[in-house]
Amino acid sequence: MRDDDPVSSPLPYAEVTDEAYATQAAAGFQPQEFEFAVVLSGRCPRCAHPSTTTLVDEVYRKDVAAPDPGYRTLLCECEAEHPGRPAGLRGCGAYWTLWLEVEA
Amino acid sequence: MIRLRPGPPATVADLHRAQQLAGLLRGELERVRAAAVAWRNGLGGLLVALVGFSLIRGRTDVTTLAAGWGALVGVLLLAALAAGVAGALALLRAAHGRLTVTPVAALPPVPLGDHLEAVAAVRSLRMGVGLVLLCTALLVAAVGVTWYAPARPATAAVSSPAVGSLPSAR
Ligand SMILES: [Zn+2]
Ligand SMILES: [Zn+2]
Repeated sequence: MRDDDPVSSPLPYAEVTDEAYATQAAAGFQPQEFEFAVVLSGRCPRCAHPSTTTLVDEVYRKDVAAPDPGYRTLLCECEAEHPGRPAGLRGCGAYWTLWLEVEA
Repeated sequence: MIRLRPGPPATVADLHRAQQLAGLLRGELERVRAAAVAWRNGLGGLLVALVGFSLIRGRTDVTTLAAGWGALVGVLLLAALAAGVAGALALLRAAHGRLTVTPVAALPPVPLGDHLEAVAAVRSLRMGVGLVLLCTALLVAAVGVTWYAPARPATAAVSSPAVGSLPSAR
């Protein structure tokens, strides 16, 4: 986890990934288990803002979702403003993948 | 305990799926509520019409039926009413949420709390739809009995033509 403050000039929105993001997130994000979901919270590896992602097994929708490949893809879901972000999206655009392993 | 490990290099397809899921999760409760309100409006109207119609219909017809059959109609109507009320309550629950107060400390974070509520609302929605259909089936059975059950012997001369003509009139 990075303890430095988020950069003062706003980082522009960009849909980018990097293997370092997954490594940092795997080390820095805290998983919290609930009955039907896992909540992952930590600092986004790109913009360093606090970000919380809720992972659930099923979502109510009318059409059928694509099957999950096993790993989970996380997005930066920080509350901060990142210029150039399309409407309806959140975060700075960073994304990465994680495996969730349940330990006995 | 859950342990996190870095996953494989993310692809654009991964990004789009994650964006779609995040968007779905954010609007999930609203979509379930909207579906429940639509069901409540449609089935609720049907329910009121059916209950009103059958109680009036059943009342006049039951007096002309043989004793055991009249009681059967009564039981069917009562069961239909119970299923209808339970179904209406389940639909209301799905459309507007539970009428209980949850201690703030016990509340999960917002998107997850909404998801749990949406899961519960879907369950209520399914139950409500099932109960309303059951209520309709029971009402149809009750009305069917009033049409087809044997008439009471003493009043047969007065009322049996009316009872006998009902099925063909519909
Ligand atoms: Zn970010
Ligand atoms: Zn950010």
